[in-house]
Amino acid sequence: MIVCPQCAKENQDHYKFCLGCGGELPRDVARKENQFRAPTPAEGMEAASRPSQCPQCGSEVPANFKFCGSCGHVMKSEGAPEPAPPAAEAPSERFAGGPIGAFIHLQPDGSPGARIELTDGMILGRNSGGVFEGDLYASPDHLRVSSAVPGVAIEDLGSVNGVFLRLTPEVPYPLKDGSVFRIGQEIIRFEAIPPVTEGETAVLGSPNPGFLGRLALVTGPNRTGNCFCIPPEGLHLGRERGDIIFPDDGYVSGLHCRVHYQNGEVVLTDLGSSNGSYLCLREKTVVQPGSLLLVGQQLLSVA
Amino acid sequence: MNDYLGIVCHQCAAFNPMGTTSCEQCSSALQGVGGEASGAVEDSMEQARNFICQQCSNPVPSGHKFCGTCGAPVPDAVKSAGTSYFSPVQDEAKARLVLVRGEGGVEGLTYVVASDYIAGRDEGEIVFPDDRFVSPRHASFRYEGETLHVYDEGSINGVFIRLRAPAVLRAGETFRAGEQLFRVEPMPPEEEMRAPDGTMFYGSPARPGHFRIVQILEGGVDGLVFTSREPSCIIGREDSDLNFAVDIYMSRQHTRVSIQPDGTFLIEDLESRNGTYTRIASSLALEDGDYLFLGRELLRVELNHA
Repeated sequence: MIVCPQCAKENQDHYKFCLGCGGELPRDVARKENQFRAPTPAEGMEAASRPSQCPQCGSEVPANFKFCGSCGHVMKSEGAPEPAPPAAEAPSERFAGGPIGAFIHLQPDGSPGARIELTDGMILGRNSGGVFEGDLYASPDHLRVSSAVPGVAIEDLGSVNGVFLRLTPEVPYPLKDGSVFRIGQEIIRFEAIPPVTEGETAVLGSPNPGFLGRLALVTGPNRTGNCFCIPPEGLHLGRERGDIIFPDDGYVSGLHCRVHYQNGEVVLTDLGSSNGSYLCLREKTVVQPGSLLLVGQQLLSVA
Repeated sequence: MNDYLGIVCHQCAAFNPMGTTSCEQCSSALQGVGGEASGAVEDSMEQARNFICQQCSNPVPSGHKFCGTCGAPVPDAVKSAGTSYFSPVQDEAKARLVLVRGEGGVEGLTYVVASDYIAGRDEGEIVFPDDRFVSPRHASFRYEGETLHVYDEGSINGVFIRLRAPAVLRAGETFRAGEQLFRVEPMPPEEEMRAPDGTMFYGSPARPGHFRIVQILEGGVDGLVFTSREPSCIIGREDSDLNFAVDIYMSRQHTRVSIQPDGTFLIEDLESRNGTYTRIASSLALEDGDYLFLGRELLRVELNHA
């Protein structure tokens, strides 16, 4: 949503002129507003102190922010006027392997934060503290990093929520039975439809025109919500446009991503969404510098 | 005159030519010559009118069980004097099943149903060899008094009846609309989101719902799962709560499903063109105009009111 600077009316992202007063809406306000803020659940993170309102654009700004996340306006606060990235403690090193690279922690407003130096065999998680301190969505021992040239090898250590890799827009990523991905606040699992073994009498049901599989909304460790069958031509997901829509999830773009069949496999393609599409890495994967990882509620950039 | 054709006198056995009325030898009247002879003399060779006893060749009057002359018993087949129909289906009062749609392509085919008729893929009087969704022995029809009943003979896919009025289903039961097969389910129970090591599971926000409808695909695997946000929802082709735009046999608003306070489900057909179908229990009394699905065979019941 874009807040009109003239009349403060809320407008949807793709609008160029305000619905209330007709004034031109600033475009870069929308872009910054949609930057990923790992949604704070009811439990898990410590309760934030009372947020304030930006005098320039009217957006809500969390209490300890020095800049407005939407328009960049300098907020007056009791601290020093110039912000500096908070110095974070280096996570305790569990293994004394050699240096293999670094993660850069991204703050909620998208700006770079602490640098985490990585060593070969190092384990990161809630136990290692640092940026994972207090993040209940990070498992105690969440992932192990090891050397891979170039890049870093990521291995999920059976964490509850997994390690998510942000997908490069317009690049298809293969989905296998059980693959999980995330768009906005939604966790979605791709399931293959098991082949039918026919007995003497065929079992009646709705016609299957060649579904590529199912997409199930994951709502709990052993629980799914709605499921959709993927037609042979594939389908699109988004907040407003697409075959599957999430009208109440503001972190999902109007048209977010696509699942379809290509070169013998079912693939997921991000369509340039604002907050990105994230694929859960359950097997050891090499990630390249510049990649974005989501661990628990923390966004990490591979240096 | 033909020398070879003549009348033999029964008194003296003399051969008399045709046309003579009295014997030339003994002057007796010749038998077989009528007063108003047509010219051609017919031998009378007649069939005995009654049953002839096998033992003594004497006629036995109708209704007798034993020959009056020699005492031999009359065979059973002759004793039961009732007349049979060519086939039990000849009785005008019996019901008919009209094939509205089927796999064999002979729509319009009418089956007359006699009691204890079996319908199936292999067995019975009403056979659907081309429909692999019909069990070998699928259903049977029985008359109880004047009413025709259909019995499910343990078929895999069941016998489905078109709703005449709203029906009540229990959780887990199925219904058909258009080409779709659905199952009704309550909401799943709440789940513990905290792992033993204290980590919280991150899942999609749980949105409130009242019940679920699961689409069952051919082969019996689950397809679409839809959560109803209200106590009642409508399934249809478009502009309904749950839509199947590609199902040409579904009406725009086809079926309403509601959950009731006791956890059962009310299924109502919304005057759809093709109807909503529920699975019969073990048997059901049929009415004129009923529609039945046996596998993919759609049959209309026609009862004559004699």
